[in-house]
Amino acid sequence: MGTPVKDITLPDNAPKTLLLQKHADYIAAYGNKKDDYEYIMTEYLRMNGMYWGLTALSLAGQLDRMDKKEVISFAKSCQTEGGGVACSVGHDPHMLSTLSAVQILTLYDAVDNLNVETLVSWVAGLQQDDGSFSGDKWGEVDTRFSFCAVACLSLLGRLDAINVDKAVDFVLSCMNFDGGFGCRPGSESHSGQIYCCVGLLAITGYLHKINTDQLGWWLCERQLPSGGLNGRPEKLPDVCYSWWVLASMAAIGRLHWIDKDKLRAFMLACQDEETGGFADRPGDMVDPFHTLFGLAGLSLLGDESVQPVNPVYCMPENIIRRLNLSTTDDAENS
Amino acid sequence: MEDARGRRLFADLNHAFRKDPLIDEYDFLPVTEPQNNASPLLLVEHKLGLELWSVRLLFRYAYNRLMNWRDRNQASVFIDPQELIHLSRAVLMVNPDCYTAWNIRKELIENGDLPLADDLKLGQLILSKFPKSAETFIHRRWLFQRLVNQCLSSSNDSTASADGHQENGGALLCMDGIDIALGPEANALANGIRPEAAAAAVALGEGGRACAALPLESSRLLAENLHHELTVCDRAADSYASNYYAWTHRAWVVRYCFNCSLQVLLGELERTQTWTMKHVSDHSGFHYRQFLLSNLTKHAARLHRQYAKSLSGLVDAEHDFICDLVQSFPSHEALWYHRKFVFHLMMKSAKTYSSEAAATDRVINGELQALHDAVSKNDGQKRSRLESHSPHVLRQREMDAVQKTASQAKEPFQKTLARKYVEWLEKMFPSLKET
Repeated sequence: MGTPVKDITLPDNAPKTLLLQKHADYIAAYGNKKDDYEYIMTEYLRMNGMYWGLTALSLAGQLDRMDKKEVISFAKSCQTEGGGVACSVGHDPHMLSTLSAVQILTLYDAVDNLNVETLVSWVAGLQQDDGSFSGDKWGEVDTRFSFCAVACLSLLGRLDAINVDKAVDFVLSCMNFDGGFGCRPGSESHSGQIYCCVGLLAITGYLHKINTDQLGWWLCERQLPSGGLNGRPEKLPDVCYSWWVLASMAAIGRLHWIDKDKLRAFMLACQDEETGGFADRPGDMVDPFHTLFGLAGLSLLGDESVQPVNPVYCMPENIIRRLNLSTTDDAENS
Repeated sequence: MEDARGRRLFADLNHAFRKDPLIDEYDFLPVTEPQNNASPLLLVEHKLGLELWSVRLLFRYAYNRLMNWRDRNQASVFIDPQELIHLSRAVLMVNPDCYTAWNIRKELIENGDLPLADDLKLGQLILSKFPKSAETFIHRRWLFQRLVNQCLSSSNDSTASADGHQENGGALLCMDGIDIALGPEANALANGIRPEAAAAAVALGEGGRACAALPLESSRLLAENLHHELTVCDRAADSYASNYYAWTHRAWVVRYCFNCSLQVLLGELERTQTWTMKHVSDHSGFHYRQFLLSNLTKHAARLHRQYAKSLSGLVDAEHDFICDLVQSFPSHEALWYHRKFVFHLMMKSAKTYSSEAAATDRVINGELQALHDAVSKNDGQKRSRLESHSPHVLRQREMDAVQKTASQAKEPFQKTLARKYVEWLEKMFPSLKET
């Protein structure tokens, strides 16, 4: 008897090759075909959604299919007086949408369209005494927001605006005995939060503070017999968690600890052959979120038809290089 | 046309809440087309059902009206606060992650238009349908933080002196089941770094004076709702497995509102034991126990003094508990992870003990020897207990037990998990013979 492992079986007829063009078509058409109910239901994620879609298109080498002017003017119209960027016009500014807006405009090399000065001081103003960041003026603290702040400011070349040492200390205070990280000190290790914390330490040059073997161990235990990775023990595999775990392993130099062929097969099986796009698991509904992380994951696994991705920023590597940003520890910090 | 139907549905929803203010659950009924003249809202015994087709119309109406009002670029539409309260409620019942709608409610609370208690109720209702809505939990933390801060500010106004804490410590505020250190420890906290923790200490510990001042209402609300919040978390954890938001929220409540009071930590340890036994796949539940145990380890002395409990006793009991579960429910990764934590904690305290003993040994060798002699003379059992808790013995015993599981288990995955545990033991605690 015994309990079967919580996992899925890849269907025999699941896709086995990358349908890159279909994904690009799916993303390019995504904005047009939605009815107004779905549009308003997802408006609180609009800016993030645009980042997912545009980055997916960049990784497919087809960013020029979108109307650059329209995108820039949308991002611009979402910046509020205080400097923060909202998810959509009329909504409130938030750290999550602010990072997405900066990422989008970085893709287009057009951050000057935002008021960078007020944006930087808005982000810096959300740092708390203990080094943590809140997501907006209402005070919720989460290591995700620490990552957003640091990623956003580094893309703008303005890390000097915050107390980096304190930001690092707060993230380190969220490290658990298993080497992982949670949303606040003492919170359960979670792949998404680990991605954010590792990312922050990579950008600031403090990766050496991580217990690499212990964290790498926990991360590689996320791989299930199906090849997919889950986000926490006894959860189902999922394309987005596969990306967060994979990217974290890449950042700490432990990518070779997982079975790449099996993960690749899992990710490919999550494609929809008819509509294009990736789902969380084979046979589920596709969306731009999983489509980005599917493409990014395959890129990290070495698929040469996809543009190389930077594991920390989840943006095309050539853009991160253009900005001279490093996501590995420099000698000066170790 | 659609707008008129949306407005009508919105009025129906408000009417349902007027008719029954105690609605405690709701869901969308799988009815995709309007049925002749019947109302799409069904209210039975405090449970509200909304036919699916009507949800779209209702949301579209309420969302567009609320967001048009919010959009500062548009010519301003005037909507009175009561309608804003109702519109945001309708929006959040369908889409609780629309954070701007929660923010509108925060502003209404700040302006005194919306009673804070109403929002605690709305959040609870929404969690019955969306047990892992991140924004709903975020909003609840804001509500509790506000309550705690109100208690703090009132105590500042009343210029409570350090002595005042002790004098008034036992007065008024009925916080059954909460022990907050009074006197020196409370003062240290109140003057400490974390404003939230200080606020909680003041709000709960110094009840007499805090309550005498303005926000009697805040103290009452806090007292009424804090324990209930643990039940809210229970329900959310029951409705969705490994509910990260529910369990991290619960830890937040214990930490920031209960100030990690020992009585609450111990109570929670007992309360979640049965829950975790019934949810052996739920790593979040076990991690919560890790959170409780980690915090208890910081107060070993007080634990002994006030509750006559030894820390090692608690950790040993947890080890027995998890080893039983590992045997009774094979092939559960969550259980093996918890075992790792508990064993790691046992080793940590064993090492602390032996390194302290070694250090003392060097300094006052003779005295220590005398002490050991006395211990062995007067309390042989205690001494053998100390020896059986040496890191070397602990590790060997754990290794033997798990290797036995690895060889005897019938389930292949249980074997795998046991073998991985052995590898982990070897890597984490390689050679202990010297310690």
